[in-house]
Amino acid sequence: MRKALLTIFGALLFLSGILLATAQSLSADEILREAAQIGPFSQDGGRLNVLTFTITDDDGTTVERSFAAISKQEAAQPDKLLIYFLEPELDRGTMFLAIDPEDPTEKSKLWLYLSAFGQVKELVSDQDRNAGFGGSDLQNDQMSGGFDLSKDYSGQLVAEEQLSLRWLGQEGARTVLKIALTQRPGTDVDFPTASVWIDEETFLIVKIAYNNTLDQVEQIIDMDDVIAFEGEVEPNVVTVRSVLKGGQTVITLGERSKLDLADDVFSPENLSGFEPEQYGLGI
Amino acid sequence: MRRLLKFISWIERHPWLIFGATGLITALFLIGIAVKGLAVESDIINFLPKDNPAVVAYRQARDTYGSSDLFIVALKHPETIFNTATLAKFKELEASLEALPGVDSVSGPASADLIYGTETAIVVEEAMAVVPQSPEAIALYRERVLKDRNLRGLIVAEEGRAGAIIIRLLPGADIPAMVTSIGELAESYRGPEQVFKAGVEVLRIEAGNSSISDIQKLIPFVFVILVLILYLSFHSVRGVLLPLSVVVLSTLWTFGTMAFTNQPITPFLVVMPILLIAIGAADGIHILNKYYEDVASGERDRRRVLASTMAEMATPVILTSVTTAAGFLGLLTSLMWPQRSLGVLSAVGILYAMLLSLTLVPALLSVLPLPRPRLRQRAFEDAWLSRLLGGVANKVGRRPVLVSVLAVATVFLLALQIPRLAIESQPTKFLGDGSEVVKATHVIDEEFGGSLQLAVDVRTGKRDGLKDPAVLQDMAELEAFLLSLPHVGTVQSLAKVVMQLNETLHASDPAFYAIPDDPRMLSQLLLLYSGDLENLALGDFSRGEVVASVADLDTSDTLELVEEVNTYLQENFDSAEAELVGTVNIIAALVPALTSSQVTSLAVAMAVALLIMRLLLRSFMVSLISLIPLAFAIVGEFGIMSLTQTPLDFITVMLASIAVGVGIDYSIHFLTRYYHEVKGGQSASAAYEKTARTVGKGIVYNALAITLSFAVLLLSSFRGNVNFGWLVMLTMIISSISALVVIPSVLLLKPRFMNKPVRLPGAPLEPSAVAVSPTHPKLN
Repeated sequence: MRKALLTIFGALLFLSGILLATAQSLSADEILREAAQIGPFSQDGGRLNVLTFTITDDDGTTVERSFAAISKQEAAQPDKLLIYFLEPELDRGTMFLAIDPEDPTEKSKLWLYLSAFGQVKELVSDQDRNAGFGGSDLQNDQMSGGFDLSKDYSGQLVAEEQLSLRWLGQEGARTVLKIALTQRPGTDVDFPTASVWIDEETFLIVKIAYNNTLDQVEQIIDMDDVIAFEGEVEPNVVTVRSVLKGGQTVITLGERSKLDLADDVFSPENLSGFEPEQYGLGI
Repeated sequence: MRRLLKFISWIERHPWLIFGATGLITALFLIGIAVKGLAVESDIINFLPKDNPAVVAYRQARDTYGSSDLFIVALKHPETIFNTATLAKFKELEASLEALPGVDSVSGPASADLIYGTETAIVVEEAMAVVPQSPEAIALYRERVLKDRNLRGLIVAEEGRAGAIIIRLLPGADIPAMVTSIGELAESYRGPEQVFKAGVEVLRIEAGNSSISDIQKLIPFVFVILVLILYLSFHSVRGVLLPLSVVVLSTLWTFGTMAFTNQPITPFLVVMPILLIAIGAADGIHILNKYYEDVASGERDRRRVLASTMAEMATPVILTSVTTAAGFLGLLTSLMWPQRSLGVLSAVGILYAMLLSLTLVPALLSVLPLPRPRLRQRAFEDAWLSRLLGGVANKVGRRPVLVSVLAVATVFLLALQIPRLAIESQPTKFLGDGSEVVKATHVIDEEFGGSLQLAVDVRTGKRDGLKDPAVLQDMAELEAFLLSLPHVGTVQSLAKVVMQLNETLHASDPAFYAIPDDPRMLSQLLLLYSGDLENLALGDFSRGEVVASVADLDTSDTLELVEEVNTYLQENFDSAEAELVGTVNIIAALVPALTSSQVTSLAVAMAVALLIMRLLLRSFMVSLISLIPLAFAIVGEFGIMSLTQTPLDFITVMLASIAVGVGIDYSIHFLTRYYHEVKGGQSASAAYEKTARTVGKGIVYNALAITLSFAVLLLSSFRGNVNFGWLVMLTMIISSISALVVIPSVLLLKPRFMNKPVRLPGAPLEPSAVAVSPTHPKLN
């Protein structure tokens, strides 16, 4: 009996070893690179997303902003993102343009068009990258660069876990890989360490927890609701929480569509001539 | 009274029960201290009266806008910081501070953002990316930073002698540890630059540390002084140990009570152990004084000596302790809770001392053999101090009118000074000039426009209300008005932010340093702002503050400033509700509160003292006369404070209650013995002389003990406590002299009401041999 039990136990260990090896056949850094290809701003081609930010400040006040995010990604080309401010009305027409070069050693270029002034200004600043986008808890860098964590962090696979999520309309548990992130030398990030949870099957990032220098969790990003869009999974609702300061931003990705976009849409010189009606933004 | 004496008699028969009970209670309190510990609370803002409108407004603003943990390190160079070595220090120090775990952000002369606009870009860059090496590069850096409105006067002093590094800590950082590590790091950059540290947390920690170190430093001194005085008084070991045991135990029991009731140590509580030691010894001193007097009379029966001593001393001990405790309880009307706490704990401590004097002391005396009488009664009364006091009594007794007139004239002259008494309600003035925080405050006042904060809370009541050009225009004009006032250094507001952004957007053209008319422009400009607006505006822009830094002011200037700003707001700010909040407002609001608190606590203490004396003496006029030492001490104290420009502040406001509580003791002891002598058949002057020679000695020793004990406060880290110390010394001197000289001179005027029999407090159960004076006619 004892021998039989030992055999069964050994077999189970072996099998789980195989399974684990399958899930972890990629290194942590490779998983991160895979994950960077998944998500609404990570897919090749052009697309439009209407985003609503519900921002609850640490002083308890709440504001709502909505934007149209127009993006274009192509192999061997810089990633481009244009944000058109829809609401509140005072800010309507303002635009934020980010061009993220292929070369990871180069910094993103950012421009801001203020419609009330009719002026386009390049934002030349490292500080601005880490500032909150539109007053939200999401940093400009995160907005423009997406969640390509492999650029700034090296990873180490920690565990396989089960995470409760709303996945394709159903509440349930998903198997996720937890990766511990450590800042790469020479990079400039606000959070020296972090943890990321990546869906094992689709490589979609479902949760990130950023830690400060005291190793306290300072910011948590949750993908609360995952839907399918044109054969790919992507988040529908993202919550960004400032754990220590007490604010949060809930980002709802509403209307979305794939578009054919010319490169000159993403040219700072053309920002003042941008026509939102062309993209069905209903102004 | 009979029951009390029966109890004391029981104690004499069962001293070991008393020793056991005392030991048990002491052990209990020691366990309480060991297990529960004693917390330290030194946040001065938390001490302020919670219902004061200015404090309420300040707290509401703090709750609304949040308070960030801010720490300031300033480096000051004797000539100018614009040299390569000093600038390199800033660069290195700021980088080291940024790297400390727990630090959220650092902004200083090297790392602060320099924001400027060009035709095509808005540039945000580090003020000092590389340390300038050449004179030209230094001059260029200097020009850039002093031209920047966000740096000039805030990060870099206008005169160029100092630079400030503003450090924000992460929420959840270990503040005391951060204060220490930041402080140590900053100190390593000292020379030739001076290093200063400031911030609310620095103040709190320094005040807390100073409280503990003061207690640890001063208590041993007080004990040494007390031991010396007791030995000089009684020249015997029991004369030292008995009163000492009472004060040690009562002090310990009081700290134990603090532990059980979760009362923290505050800077105000530093004086409590000294109060208890100095005043708690009084009962023992008076009991032993009478004890030795009875021994000197020749009585050799231990029980009779003890019975006689306690019969005569029990009532005055109870009365003096109760009146002293009542005086301290007058502090219950104080503004700040630590003052009320001091009042209650001191009262409790005095009552513990009373309990021990009435139980432990007779218990100890009952087991100790009678000492050999060093002095016979006559010799007791003929000892040098007794002779001196007798001589004074003799002279006063011959000229009561002159003495009374002189006393009244002196007090009158001092009373005339009282209207000029200054009032100081700034809490940080409590610290001494040696305080690191005070030194830093001086530097910030001189170089950076001021260390105090005057804030106007602007409330529009609606989302995006602050984006109304009319509101921002009002804020901009308010800012200009504040800058026009003396003592106001720098001003920050959302209006300033918007004007700067507008200027930056237009290629840093100063012509655009203005509020745009269009709300869309205003809203979009704010999208350019990359920092945290914090208290300049809430997230929904419904409310925000205009914040001015103000240099250290005296109270009258503060009141004037507040009045001017309030008038301006009423007359000019009409686009939104605007209310003055901030520390300057609190300081101004506390001035009348401090004055009324003083009057209330004094009135309550005097009323209680009068009531007790009235019950004691059954004569209203004699009761009033018994208050002479208190009245003289209080008027004298305020008059001398005015002459020496010592302000009435949060510590000295407690003096009156303490003066009443302690000063009444001298009256009680004097009058008790005086009327005892009169009842025994002595004439008024003979009774006076006898009282002076006997109880007078006790009063002098008592006053000396308290005076010298409070002298140790001159060594305190807190200026408030130093002032408190010498003022208590003065009060004790005036009270004791008044009790020994002024009361008898009034009594010797022989007004008709004095001839009525006056009830004596607790006449002895049996005439004691020692109650008969050697000069009594029956003996001669």
